[in-house]
Amino acid sequence: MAQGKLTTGFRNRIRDWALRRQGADALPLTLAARRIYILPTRAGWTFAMLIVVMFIAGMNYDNGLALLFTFWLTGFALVAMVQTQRNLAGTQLLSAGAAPAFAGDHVAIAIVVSTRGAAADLRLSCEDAAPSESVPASGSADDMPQLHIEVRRRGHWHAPPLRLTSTAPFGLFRTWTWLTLDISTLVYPRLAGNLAIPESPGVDGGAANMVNNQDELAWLRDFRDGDSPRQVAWKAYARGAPLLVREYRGYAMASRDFDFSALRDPDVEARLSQLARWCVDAAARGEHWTLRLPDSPPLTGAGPEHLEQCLQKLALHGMRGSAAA
Amino acid sequence: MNRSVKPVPTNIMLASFASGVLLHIDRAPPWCLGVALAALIWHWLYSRGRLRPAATALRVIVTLALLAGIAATFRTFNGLSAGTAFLLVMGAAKLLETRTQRDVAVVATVSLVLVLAACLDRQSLLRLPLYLASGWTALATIAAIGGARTSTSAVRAFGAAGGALLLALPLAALCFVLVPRMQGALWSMPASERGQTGLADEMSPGSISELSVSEDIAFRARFEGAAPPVAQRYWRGPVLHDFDGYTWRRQAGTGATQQQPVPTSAPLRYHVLLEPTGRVYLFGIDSIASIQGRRNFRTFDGQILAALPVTETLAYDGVSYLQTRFDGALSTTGRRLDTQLPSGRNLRSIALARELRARATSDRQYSMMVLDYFRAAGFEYTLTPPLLDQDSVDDLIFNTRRGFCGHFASAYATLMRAAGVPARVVTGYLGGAWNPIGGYYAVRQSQAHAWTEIWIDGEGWVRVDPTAVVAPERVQQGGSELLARSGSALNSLFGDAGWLRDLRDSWDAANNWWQERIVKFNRSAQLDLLRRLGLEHIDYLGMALLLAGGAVLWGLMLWAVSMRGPRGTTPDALGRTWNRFLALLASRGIGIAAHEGPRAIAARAVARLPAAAADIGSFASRYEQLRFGTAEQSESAIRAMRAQLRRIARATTANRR
Repeated sequence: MAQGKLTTGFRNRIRDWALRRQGADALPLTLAARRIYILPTRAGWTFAMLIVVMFIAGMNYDNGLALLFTFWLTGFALVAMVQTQRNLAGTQLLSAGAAPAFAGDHVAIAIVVSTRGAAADLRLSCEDAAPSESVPASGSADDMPQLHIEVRRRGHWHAPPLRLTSTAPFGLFRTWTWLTLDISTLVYPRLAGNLAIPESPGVDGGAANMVNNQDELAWLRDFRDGDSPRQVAWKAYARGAPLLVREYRGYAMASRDFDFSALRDPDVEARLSQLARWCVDAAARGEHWTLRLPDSPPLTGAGPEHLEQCLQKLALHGMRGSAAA
Repeated sequence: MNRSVKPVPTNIMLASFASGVLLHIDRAPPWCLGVALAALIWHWLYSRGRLRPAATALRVIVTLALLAGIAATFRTFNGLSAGTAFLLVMGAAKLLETRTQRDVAVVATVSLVLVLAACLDRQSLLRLPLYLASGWTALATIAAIGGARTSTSAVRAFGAAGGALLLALPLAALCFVLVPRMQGALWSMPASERGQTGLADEMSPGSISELSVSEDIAFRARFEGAAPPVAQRYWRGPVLHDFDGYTWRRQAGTGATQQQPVPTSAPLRYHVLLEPTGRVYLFGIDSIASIQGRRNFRTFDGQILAALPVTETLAYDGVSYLQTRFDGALSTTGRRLDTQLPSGRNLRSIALARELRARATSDRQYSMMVLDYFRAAGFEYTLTPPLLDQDSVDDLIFNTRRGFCGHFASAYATLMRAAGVPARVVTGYLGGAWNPIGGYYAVRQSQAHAWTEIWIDGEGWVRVDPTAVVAPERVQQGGSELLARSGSALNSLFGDAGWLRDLRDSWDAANNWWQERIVKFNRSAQLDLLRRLGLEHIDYLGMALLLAGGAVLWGLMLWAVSMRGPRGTTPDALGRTWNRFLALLASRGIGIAAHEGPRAIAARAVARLPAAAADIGSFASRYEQLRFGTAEQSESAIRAMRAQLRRIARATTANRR
């Protein structure tokens, strides 16, 4: 939307007023009429002009049919207004979530909504963020408007005020509501750094062990929480079998050591980025590693949960509240 | 915004413009229709990738050329025909550059205006379905681009537009009745220049019988009180004075002083709905005292002429007197005008007239003798009279002896004039068939008639209908029954079937209702309706209040209707957990299709998010068991699922890269 600075400022002031008026939102939330705004779109203004012109023509020709047509279109436009407004009014926001992301990437926000009758045609946007991609989910049982917002700095991230918009069904009106949902997530350090991954002291490279493991399938057993996904028999599951896990004989560990103090880059952020990169790489290889950061005990382990813990530590390094998990 | 990446709904847009063009296919200049058709075909091929997009320069040149074409064809952009042609070519030009949603909206708008132009142009009930279909398609086009969805199916678009139209109908009716109408136009429009059927300015032998095969409605009439008998229902129209021996014509100048009839009976009041004639004649029961509803004036010979040609259906009220007398004498100019005959023509008839007049004692007796002569001469009344030569009256009386009303009126007037009795030919309609469904008399072109008026000193102008002595049944029954025997195509096919007449009556009544109540719903009709609704003294404020109240009621109705419909039920704890799972997947870029079950969703999610595969699979299995299986929904089960959800969230974050 190309808008002048003046209008943008004006719009922001209206938005801030509206946000103050409605306060913070807690889920699940049913959108009430008093917080829903509606204005004609450009197409709507054109349609209004059309109706005026038609009315004048019908009056001038004293033509009942033309006037009937005009009045019908007027009613149509009003129906369109109500129907557009009903896309939001009474709609329930059930849950909202955002996935953690790496700095420089996009945080994906999704809201699960439950609408009246046919799936509403909703779009999520954010005026503060840079022009962002917003993807209306189409045809889903519960519509899930999504929004990707670019994030630049690591640490805690809170979603800015969002705008939930709809122009359906005729595009003559745009209805919207501002949302201040408590959506927060962590932004991990930017994945960067090209230093070679440190070798693990005293243990052979893990890759060879992994290959051995793959060779010796022992049996299949029922799935238990905490099992590695790599061992689940997915082909069997897709065919309709219950979740089964492949058991292998023998499992050797490789362990690497990622130490903050061992890095020489004077820039703390660059060091964190390098550590994040290594953690991600090690996890991708299914390896075992230890992350050492100053002022906190070393984290040793493997797998996604370990990676998650490491990235959280890296995201919050040197920030207040870093002790929180 | 990413509006432009949405695909353009080509088919529905083309259908919308094509249907708009279709409404004007018989009226618009052929080259405009050609341009519109070419643009439709071009865009269709373009949308299928067969053609490259038109260059901007080309589009500009084409657009300017089309504008020049309009200017050259019409010499104006004002008026309905020029405006319609303008819309056609501009819509066509827009099709050359339809790439964005906004272009589609422009084409849909043009289509809507084309419907409006069609409404202004022609309002027959028969065309109404066309207008509806066209308008609906245009609004469906708007619906197809209305939302944020990447594509809207045609069925869905038509459904949305149709539903909204139905909901809008009550408000449309309310506004139609209550929005105050103006008297007269804001600015004048160029009159349309179209030939209509109906009585012409002149009458030659056979011209009325040509008319009489037409079953078109000339006008409809409703009487206040009892209608006069059919033999009295002479609807007076053009009065003809100039005779060249073959053709009767109107008198161009005024020539004679007015002879005003003095009423000697009670006034007869009636309401007429006149179909467009393209001429100025207003018809009324003989003799017409006054007509109200359209600016008109009265000529010296008692015709009522509208100030402007009747190019649209016209409603007016008439007052007539069945019996009148004339005081005073005919002026010299008037006598000269209505006794002159072309020299050297119809000589045998003139000789006959002189012979008969010599035997009569008075003009009055002479006129009766000529009628007797007509009765005795064995004339035959026929719809298909033989062609007459230049001395048409001689040919009729002494030769063919077969004719239609116009022939006998012409012959009678000639015989009168030859004897010095002032006579003129009056054309109009006789009769009118009662339509029991509509409660009015339908006067058709087949009931066109011609008779004479002669001046008798002391009595004034007297109507004499020679057809009444030749074919009394014509005057007694009206035209259409006679026609049945003469055999029109329709009647010979079905016979005089009762159901056919009922069908025709019903259709005609519907048409009449449509014309009178919808198309011609003007200020006076509005006031009349409000009066009959008991709102006799309502003023503008009252109408506005009534309108506002009705609109509020309609709004409430609309609100109630839109509240209805399957409300998404509030999900239980399990449902909420599942929704969170879906939200999580959505935030990871995995959309869910409506038809997908938990297992299919899980399989897809696993493929995209292998890091969390185990938890996703187990989560989906649990959901399935709890929701559809026999497992008991317990808090601990939900808690376990939530824990899984958290693990999925964690596991899938690190692996987004």
